[in-house]
Amino acid sequence: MARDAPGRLRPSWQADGAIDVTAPAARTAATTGRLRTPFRETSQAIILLQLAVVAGVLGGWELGARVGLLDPAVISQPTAIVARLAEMVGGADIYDATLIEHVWATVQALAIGYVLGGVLGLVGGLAFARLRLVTRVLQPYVLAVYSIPKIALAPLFVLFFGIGVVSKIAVVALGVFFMFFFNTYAGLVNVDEEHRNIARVMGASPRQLFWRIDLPSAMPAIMTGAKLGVPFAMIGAIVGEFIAATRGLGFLILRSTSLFDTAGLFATILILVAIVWVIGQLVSLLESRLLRWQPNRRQRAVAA
Amino acid sequence: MTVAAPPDHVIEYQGIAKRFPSHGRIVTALDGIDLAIRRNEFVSVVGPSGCGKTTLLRLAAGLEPPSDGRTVYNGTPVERVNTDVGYVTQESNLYPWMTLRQNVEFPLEIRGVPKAERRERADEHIRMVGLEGFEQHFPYQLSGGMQKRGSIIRTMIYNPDVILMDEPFGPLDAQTRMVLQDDLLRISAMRQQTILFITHDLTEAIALSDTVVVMSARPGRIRQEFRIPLSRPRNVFQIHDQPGFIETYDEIWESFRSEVVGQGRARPAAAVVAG
Repeated sequence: MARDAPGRLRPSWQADGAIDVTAPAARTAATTGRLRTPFRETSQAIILLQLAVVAGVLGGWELGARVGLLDPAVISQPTAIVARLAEMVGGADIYDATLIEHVWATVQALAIGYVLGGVLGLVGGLAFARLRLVTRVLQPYVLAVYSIPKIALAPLFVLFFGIGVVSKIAVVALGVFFMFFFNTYAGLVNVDEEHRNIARVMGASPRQLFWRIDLPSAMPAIMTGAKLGVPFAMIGAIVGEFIAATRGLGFLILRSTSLFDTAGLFATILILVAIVWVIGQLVSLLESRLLRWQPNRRQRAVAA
Repeated sequence: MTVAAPPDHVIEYQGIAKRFPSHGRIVTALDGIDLAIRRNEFVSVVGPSGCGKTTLLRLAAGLEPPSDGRTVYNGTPVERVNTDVGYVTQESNLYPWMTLRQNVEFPLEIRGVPKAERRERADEHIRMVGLEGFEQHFPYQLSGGMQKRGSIIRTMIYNPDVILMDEPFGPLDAQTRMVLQDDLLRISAMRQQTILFITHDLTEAIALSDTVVVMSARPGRIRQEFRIPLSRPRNVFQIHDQPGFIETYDEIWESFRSEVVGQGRARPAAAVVAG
């Protein structure tokens, strides 16, 4: 059975790669031409397989629900979810507001909280990187606060800021803050000393050192914080809405669950995933702009 | 050419010692260094690795203070970062987030030179070392030799009084090295520059310099100074054929060898030094 398997089953670029090593230079062009096609086939095959997995899971789920193996009241079923999703996207009233209004409530808190937490984290990380004494004094407290699950603080924020968008923003900002804070700090502390020395000998002022050397050096780390901050921001917003809200995706999740609107629950989660994906893309776009000087990034951009 | 000129010393190391704490012990990197660098001279310092050659440059740049003694620059003790010098490190250290042109312009940007002039001077220097067409490239898109050229013209562009170079051609292949040595000879001849050059390659030191200073193994001391009698302009590609090269090489090698051998690295001369 393994007779003709290697050519088909093993990633064909592997076999071709082996040939390529020993191939005379004259054959290089032809080899490259042959290398490309099988590789593309392989990645297409993988996509097909991935789609097959999704189809299998969804099909099994749907079938299970119809046959009665799964209880649609608890786990719903794909067709019902799609129908509910269409209904929601179509502008139907879902628990006293349209989908747009719910999404807006969440995204608004998310955006404001993200920017607020991000800016504070940046400034805080900067201060910690600069003021060694402050760092040494405050470090244990910062770590202590960081170790508290932010969810545990959410009710406290409701006490502080009342039921409404402000407490939600606060929960989002807190999570995002730490991501920016730690990464900005790490980025600035790890600036190559030789890079700074060369600039100092050239006569750079502290201001120039910061803007032209320190900040760009730390940018990859800061962007890591920015990316990690996105899911944290979403968690914060949803948790904030779990605790006290009459609008928003977190509220939708909670309400649809309590009313056994399982299809609505899954539909909301899908919308959530889509939003996180869009935000992630935006951050990646920003990243590729700011870090276009990094080798791997450029290559990826070229390849894409 | 400097024989007739007054002994005008740009850099003077006066009784320098440098000690570092290392693993709970005090390591003496430099000891009893007295050395004067004359204006417009190309001076190379050769010595076994770990003899504190790099520290000499960092002292002159004001990036480190000496433990004893003082470094005098143009008659004034160096007490803070010395912005009159240019510092070319062992790694090219072009800023990865700047394009080649931005890197070369950077010293002028620091000095507040207007953008148009900055651009013009940068492009002129980029052309001088044959890097035209690569202005918009980021360092990772340049070869090692190109990066090196970039970092040298980034220092040349603001005409520092003295250029400190720390084994700038160390990691390059032999071919590229010679091309860059040739570049450096041309450029430094063009503008009467004082250069303090660190290397462990004796051939390179002789090919480029007016004076070669041999240092001892740790603790680094000045062992001997040699005037290089080779006429200029020199051809680095055929430096071995230049009259006087062999004699000069042998003479300095005698002094240098005992240090290298002292480190337990006895090897044929050509392998160790010209390597």
